[in-house]
Amino acid sequence: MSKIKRRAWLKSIGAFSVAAGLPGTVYAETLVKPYRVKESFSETDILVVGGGTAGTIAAIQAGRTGSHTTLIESGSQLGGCTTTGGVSFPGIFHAWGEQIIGGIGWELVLDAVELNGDQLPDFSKTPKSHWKHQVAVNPALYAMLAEEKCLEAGVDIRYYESPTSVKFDNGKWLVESIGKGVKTLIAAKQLIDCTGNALITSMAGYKVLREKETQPGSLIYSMGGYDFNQLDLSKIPNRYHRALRQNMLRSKIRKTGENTFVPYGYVYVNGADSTTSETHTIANQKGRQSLLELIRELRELPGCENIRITSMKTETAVRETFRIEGLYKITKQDYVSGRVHDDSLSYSFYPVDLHREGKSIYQEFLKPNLVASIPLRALIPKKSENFLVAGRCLCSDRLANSALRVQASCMGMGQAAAIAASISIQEGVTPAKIAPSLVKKRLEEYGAIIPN
Amino acid sequence: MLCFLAFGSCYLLKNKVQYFIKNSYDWSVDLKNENYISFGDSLFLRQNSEGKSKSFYQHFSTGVCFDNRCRPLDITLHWTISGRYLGFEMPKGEFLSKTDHDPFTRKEYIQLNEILSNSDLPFREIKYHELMNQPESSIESVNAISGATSERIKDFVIKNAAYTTYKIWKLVYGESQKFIEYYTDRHLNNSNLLNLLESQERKDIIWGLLHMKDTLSFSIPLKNRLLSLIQSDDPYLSYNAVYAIPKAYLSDADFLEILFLSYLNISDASTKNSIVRKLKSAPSLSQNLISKSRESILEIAPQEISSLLKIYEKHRVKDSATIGVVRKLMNHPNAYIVKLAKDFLSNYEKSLYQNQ
Repeated sequence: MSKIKRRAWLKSIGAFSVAAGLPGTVYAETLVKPYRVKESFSETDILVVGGGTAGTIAAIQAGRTGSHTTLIESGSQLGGCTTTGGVSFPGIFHAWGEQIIGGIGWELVLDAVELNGDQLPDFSKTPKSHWKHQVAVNPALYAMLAEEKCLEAGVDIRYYESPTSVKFDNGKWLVESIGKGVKTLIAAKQLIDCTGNALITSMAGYKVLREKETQPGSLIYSMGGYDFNQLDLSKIPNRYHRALRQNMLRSKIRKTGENTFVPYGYVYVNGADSTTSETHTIANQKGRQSLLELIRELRELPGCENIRITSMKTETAVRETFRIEGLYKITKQDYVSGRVHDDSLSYSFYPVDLHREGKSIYQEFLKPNLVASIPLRALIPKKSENFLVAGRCLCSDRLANSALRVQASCMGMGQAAAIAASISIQEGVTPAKIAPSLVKKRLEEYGAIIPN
Repeated sequence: MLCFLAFGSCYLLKNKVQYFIKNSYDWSVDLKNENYISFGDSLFLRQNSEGKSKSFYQHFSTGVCFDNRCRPLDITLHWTISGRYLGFEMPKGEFLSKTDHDPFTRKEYIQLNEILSNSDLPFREIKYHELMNQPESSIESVNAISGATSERIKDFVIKNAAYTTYKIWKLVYGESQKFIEYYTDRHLNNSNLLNLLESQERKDIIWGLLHMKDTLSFSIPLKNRLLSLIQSDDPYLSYNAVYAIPKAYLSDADFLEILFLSYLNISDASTKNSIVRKLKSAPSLSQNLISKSRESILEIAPQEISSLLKIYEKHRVKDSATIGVVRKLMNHPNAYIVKLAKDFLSNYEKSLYQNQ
């Protein structure tokens, strides 16, 4: 059979086979009407905006109190920095040999550790480097478990949405939210801003603060195609050593061992800001451009000729943007002295940790046995009603904020804010007027650890 | 006489250097009645007259090299059967010295003994040439005398003896230790496992827990020891003890009942979480355990109720008394619990329908 004939024959066989196997409906195409944005109205008890580190925990906790809870998340999965941002290494839950943050955040971490077949490290020993007590989690598992727990708690999750207006009307918050092909008006008794950027606080008309210069963000990636142990570091400029060394570490099964380096590679993104689509787009573009430059430079180095990117997070993770002006401002002095207030609802443990333009880090460690705490008032914007924040935008000065922003602290805040919101509904008063003792008691029932 | 004593260190005979860590007595053997198993020329397992493994030791004859010169090192190292460092000794007349050839002082030997007992030092990641700060061009010609000890390690080495400290630490935590752990793991039995779990030293207990296997035959003393560790005040021991529960115990109704009661009394979330996982993976739950759980369900915290309902779901607990208690949860003040109870009862009713 000549080549042409054979090809024509095979083509005819193929066409016959495909046609024979197709159901009739394949050809039942119809023209559809132009899509009109679907508009709806819903009512909820507690509306959480932002499904990141704090918001996920706030939503689960709110749902578990029995409150009807809605969670708006602008991305496609929960977890924020821990998942989408790639800092799958949340902490710090332990200080000076004891657990200081528990509750739902810890429950989620535990479930992710167990489902990944890992075991926890020994937290009874205080490590030389604070971050060695951060717990490596599988980010995919974490995102799925977070979603499962939200759904189990009855949380109505609205992905791909972002609020466009926030108004307080007749004792309720009216939030208009727009997503892919949908526009929803949500009426909520309590509103919790977990955007990390105080965006909802600002949209609601409350004051927010921002430093002239903010800490850089990080775009997280991993590389392959080289063996760190085989490199002749004497022939590679020092500025590349960190990137090459850190990348080689995997998220180990964390039995009794501890990671030696923070187990991810990252490039700094100066001025990174995730507050709006525009600023976050810029942060992502800058991060990707820096990473491209780095890869091109690394491939020029001896032993690195075959380096390639094996993964890159889709978003630049952000350290610092806006903070609220709250009923109480946590100062650096409060933080490093381990001050506990009557309304302290959660602990926080991390060094003051200010990344300066990606060039150096100012660090100040807490003295032995001191642990900072987070008062309810730092989560309430001044002059607000039925409104709370949780996450890095809490009211604090810049140095205190550089420590408070870490994941475990944000989880603790998320849980505390949700309990406060639920008690506010129950008592019929704004969060600033509820008795801290009531919040503490309820938090303990849900496994949270209360400062004393 | 070997100095396995419950003291931090000792220096008994003149010119004979011997240092052992605290609580090493557990692992000592009676020299008159001990046996040895050798592995190659220098590594030995010490056993008592009943054949019970007690400790390992190895003699090293090597050199500490720097500045293009080497000084001989003649030392015997001791480990427990779990590979934990026990101590070191040197032949009569041998001693350790520093870069200026001064011998170690007693204080420095004690400090070295402490350094060697710390398995978490950063030496594992540090290469020989990184011990001293030096110009990049001089890697092949390290000068320990003029070089300053690297900041990364200066707190973990004997002053002016960085290379010696590093070398001995690497011997303690090197291939021999790996072999010891491997050997003990392969030969783990009821007796030496219990010995480890009853050790005064937390590290041995953790080692034992991390190496428990389903293939071992388990004794009553071992079961009791495991339960006491689960109820320990040390959350890490408690967590690992639950994690280590062998499959055989999950078929033991009494064990599971005590485990459930421990769940109610333990406050550590990690341990509680692990207990729930174990109870779910048990082949079945006794009526007694289910009855005890029913008695507590109306009193416990919301998350505990949620866990208990999941355990019931997993084991298809559908007896009328349990269903009755879950119905009572429909009146719980927390709407989340009401939702869980409703879901549970709905699944129960579906199963009834499917069985008809």
